Amino acid sequence: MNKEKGVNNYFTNVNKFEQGDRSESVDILKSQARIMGTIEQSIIPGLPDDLALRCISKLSHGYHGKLECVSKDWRDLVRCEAYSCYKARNGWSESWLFAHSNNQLVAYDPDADRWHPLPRNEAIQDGWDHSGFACVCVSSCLLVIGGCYVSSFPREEPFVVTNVVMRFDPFKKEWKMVAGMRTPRTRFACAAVSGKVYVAGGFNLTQSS
Amino acid sequence: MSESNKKISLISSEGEAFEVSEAVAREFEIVAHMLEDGCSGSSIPITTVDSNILGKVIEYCTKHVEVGNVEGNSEKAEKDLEEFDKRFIAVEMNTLFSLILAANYLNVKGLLNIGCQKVADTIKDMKPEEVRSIFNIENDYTPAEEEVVRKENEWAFQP
Repeated sequence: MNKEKGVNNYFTNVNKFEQGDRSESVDILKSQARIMGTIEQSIIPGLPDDLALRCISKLSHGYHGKLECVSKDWRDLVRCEAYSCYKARNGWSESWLFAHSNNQLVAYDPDADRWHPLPRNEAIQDGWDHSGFACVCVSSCLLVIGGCYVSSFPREEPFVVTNVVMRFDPFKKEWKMVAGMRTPRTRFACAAVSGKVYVAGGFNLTQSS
Repeated sequence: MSESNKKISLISSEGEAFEVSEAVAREFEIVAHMLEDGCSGSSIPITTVDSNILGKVIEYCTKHVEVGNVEGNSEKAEKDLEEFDKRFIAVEMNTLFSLILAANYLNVKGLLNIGCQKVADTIKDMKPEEVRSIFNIENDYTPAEEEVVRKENEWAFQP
């Protein structure tokens, strides 16, 4: 089997759309953060919190790391789930481009004009290349679905088709293994419609030497 | 409409009157609503905004109304307006905050937008410690905690 080392590109919306209650206001956002025991002083002294929030929300996700370093309040605010919903509802969320090459995923933030390497996906072990997988974005996360692990050097099993689904959360900046597909598959069709992921076709023959 | 020539006085918190055309006054959505609700008085008190800031907000609205009225060559006009906005909003932080507060109260959406964007842009170009100092934010991290959050966000500090 040929190794696929091409670059796969996916646009995703980092923030959530159509999630949560539309009547959710800044107050709820704040109280949520307060319940978490966080925001004690104003977000930006001199501005009411709703306006401070409005200012901060104009920063794209690529800057959130910087915001998190300013203070605990800012960190907790940016990590608060309601924050991403708030941004999305106001149309202030941005798209990221994910590119995959040689087992490494990198994300491009068009607003910051900057590439971010993603943390390693633990599902891919050393000595294996991942190919034939599908990527979709649902509710602010990137899913890497199925595909095929191809051994980089000769071994008994030259490749393994997988049912594993890995999820990358750009806000937590971590990978998590989520429920796998019922069947392993590689080079299949995949799409997200109304927040649900559909897979179709592909191959699942595991070739033994 | 003949009404568009009508003058309206906006009174600042110090009691100073600013005479503007109705078209400019209507850029303040709060005033536009008052006028629609039949508030026919020709002077409207803006008690929470001082003269300095009210003058600036009027300057902003006047410019935007003027450009909006010019027909033709819209691309150039748009560029000019962008330039104007850029120069207009390049003020020190206290003034910027006052402009944001006023724009929010008076409901001048364009100004609120560029004001908030300016704050965001300021943050973009700064290190976290600079952000703290310009906005007067207390660093409540212990050095060890700060190390952790910085490590987690190393990608944010790449040049």
